[in-house]
Amino acid sequence: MSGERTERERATGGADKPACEGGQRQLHPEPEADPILEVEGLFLSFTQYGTGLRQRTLEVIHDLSLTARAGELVAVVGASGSGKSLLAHAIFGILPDNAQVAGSMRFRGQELDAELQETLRGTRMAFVPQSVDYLDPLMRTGEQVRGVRGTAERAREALDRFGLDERVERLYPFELSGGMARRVLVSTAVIEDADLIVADEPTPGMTLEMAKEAMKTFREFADAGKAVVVITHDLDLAYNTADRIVVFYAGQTFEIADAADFRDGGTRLRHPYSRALVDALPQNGFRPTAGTQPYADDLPAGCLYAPRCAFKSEECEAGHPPFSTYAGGQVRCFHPLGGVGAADDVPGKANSDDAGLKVQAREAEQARVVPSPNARLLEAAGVSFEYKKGAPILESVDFSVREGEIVGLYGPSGRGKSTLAYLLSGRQKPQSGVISWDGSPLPSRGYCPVQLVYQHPERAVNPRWQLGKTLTESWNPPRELQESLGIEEAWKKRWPNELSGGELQRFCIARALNPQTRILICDEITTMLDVVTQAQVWRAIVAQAREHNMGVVAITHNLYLADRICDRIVEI
Amino acid sequence: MAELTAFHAPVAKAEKAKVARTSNRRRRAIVLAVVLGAILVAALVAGLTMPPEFYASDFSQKQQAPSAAHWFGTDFLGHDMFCFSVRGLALSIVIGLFASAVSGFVALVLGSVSAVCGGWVDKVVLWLADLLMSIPHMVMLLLISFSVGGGTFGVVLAVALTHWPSLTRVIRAEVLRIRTGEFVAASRAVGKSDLWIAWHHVVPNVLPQFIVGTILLFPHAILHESALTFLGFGLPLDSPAIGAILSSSMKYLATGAWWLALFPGLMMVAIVLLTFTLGDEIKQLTDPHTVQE
Repeated sequence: MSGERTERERATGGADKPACEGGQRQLHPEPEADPILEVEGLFLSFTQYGTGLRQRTLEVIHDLSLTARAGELVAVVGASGSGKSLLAHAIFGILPDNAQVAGSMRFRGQELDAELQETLRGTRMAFVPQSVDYLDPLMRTGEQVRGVRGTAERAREALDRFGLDERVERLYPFELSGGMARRVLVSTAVIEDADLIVADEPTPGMTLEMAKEAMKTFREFADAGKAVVVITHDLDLAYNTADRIVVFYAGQTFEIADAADFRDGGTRLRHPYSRALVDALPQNGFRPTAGTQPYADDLPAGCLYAPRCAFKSEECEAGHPPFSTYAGGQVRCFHPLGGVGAADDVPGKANSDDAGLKVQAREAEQARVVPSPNARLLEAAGVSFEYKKGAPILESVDFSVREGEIVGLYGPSGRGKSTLAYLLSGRQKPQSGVISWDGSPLPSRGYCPVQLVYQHPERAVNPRWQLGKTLTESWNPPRELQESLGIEEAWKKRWPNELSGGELQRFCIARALNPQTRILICDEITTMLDVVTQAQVWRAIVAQAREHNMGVVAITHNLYLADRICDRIVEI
Repeated sequence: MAELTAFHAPVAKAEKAKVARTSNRRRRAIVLAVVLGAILVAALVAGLTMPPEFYASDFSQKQQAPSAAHWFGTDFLGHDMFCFSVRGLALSIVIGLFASAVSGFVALVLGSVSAVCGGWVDKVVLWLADLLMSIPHMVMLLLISFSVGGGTFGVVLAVALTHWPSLTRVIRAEVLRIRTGEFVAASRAVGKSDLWIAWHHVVPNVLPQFIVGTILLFPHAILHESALTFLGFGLPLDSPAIGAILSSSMKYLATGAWWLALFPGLMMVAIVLLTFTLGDEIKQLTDPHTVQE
């Protein structure tokens, strides 16, 4: 990477279309194929403490159903904090002690109780957990991947698939970058001979190619007769690989549809929320939906989506819609849309038609900003960095960003994008080279003109502060900004461990959007967010940045997103 | 609209999740704290204000098994073992409180200083802590107590000086973790001063650990005080500490006077267990990761 700074031509929609080989396959396995996993009418609740001695029960999953058959790849998509990971944890019996589960879960027709879960876990059911924290911190990568039953050759093979060389086998988890750790996690599942594989967010932090490779691996497993459930935010990857897609929202299944229904702007989708998801993709409308997912202790009386739904009626606000079959899929809605062969007059059609898309795209095009040459400049010149032992992370890298421009920073994991973000924001000092702001070093005291929004929001907020305090730590963000970021008034009284990563991230962003900030560095800040929230958050950031002439560095693996929001894209 | 199959058909309503009644940890912690507090206060008040005739020797009543008149029996000098034990317990509690408070304070100061200053200060503190932890506790206690001539002062000093290393390490690690944490970096970047960060970020995160650590030191201190006294290197044997009582009772166990050691021993075990449990409960309740479990 020495000194090479390629001004990447803007990614165009077609160039990197993440369609996997085998993406165009027959969509359903034989309907008679063995159901491997059947979840029916699942309820999940937590007993929590309220104020004082009071205990309350929060029901976070309500009446949820899901079936995965042999030979099938099922993708679960939906809002962050909608209970996707909890479902996976419930299947494997690894929920915390204060959780209660009701309903039925069956593995090959057998009731999945604690005993069966224990026997099947790691033998016939494999789990790819979401976070690096699930790796044993004291075990080298190679050993972890090998597991109890694997052999060194198979581990090598699995790691090879994901471009992890022998050096990586000897590393400990803390030495891995975010994307490398995910690849290691996926490799652990690869060498198990399981009938059922559940992967919880396996792809964030991976480049498009790696993510495709990971999904291809899952596809191959499904084709080999296993049942695979992939929980993901990456809708685009999901509908290009999966057979069926299950849409979650606030702990309910809103829709189960063929993956193909998500193509072509999602006009065949039945539920308004599924459409909102498709519509929020950066390559589509990038349109956020107002409002936020309701919290488990404050659910609306009727349909859980009613408060945000454009098509709601009185019926929706009064009663719970049943989950029923409609037009070739299943949907939980009183007024389902679309379906196969949907009529043109279906409401919401106009929302996602192609003409609208082009208009949007043109607007974005016009919005690209060329900063004035006398705008202040944050510059990294010939910067190198390495940790105490091991290979250098960065070698004489040049990078610059001016006030008022939005720059995308794109590149494979492990290339030092996060490290560069650290150096640029003054959190770490480079071993050689210079970081300068407006010609001089960054100030070590007072408000730093360069602010960093960190990849893991749960580490960026004080766990013992109510979030209102985090929000106002830097400045008092105006109501409108809080609303455009989707920060709910009630969240300010909550503790960080009560909110999802996506919800916490909005507080971190609001904190850093102080107008005193001249350059905002966003290190993969939306990878763990659902697409609707991603669109909402990025629109708010771009609006604030433009209003106050801030520069933004957006580190991302999503080229569509980069293309949507950035004035230029730099590849590292 | 086509295909409105079974859309409005009633769907079998799945049974709602049954709410298992989980035990209320907060209530349990409060009950524990109240019970323990009551026992400690009662023992202290009763033990320290007891009129001498309650524990005077009465040779007409010597070596009696537990009865309604003498709940814990009497010893070879005719002391009432209940009154004797309560006095002993009061003494142990005073020593335990004092020793754990001193240890906790030492740990707080050394832990924070070593984390904040780093460099050679950190090295020296860690070296000292390692040194103390590498020598068997009992040996250190004996040496320190013996070198200052034993007695109450010797015991308090010995216990206080040997119990700080583990808590020091905990506090040092916690302060370090918070100081290098992402939320502190973010705070510094928005222009907050070191003092502001110390008060708003470090203190609220370290305080619970410190309180729990100090509470958990208390039973250790009591046990070590007793052990030291039992071995004859602590309080003088004529003082009514639990250790002294147990030590002299040993001689009469062979004669069948089981009550002499059993009841005072149980009292001590009860206090120690209650304190440990309370400390653990508080630890769970103050840790954001386990607070809801």
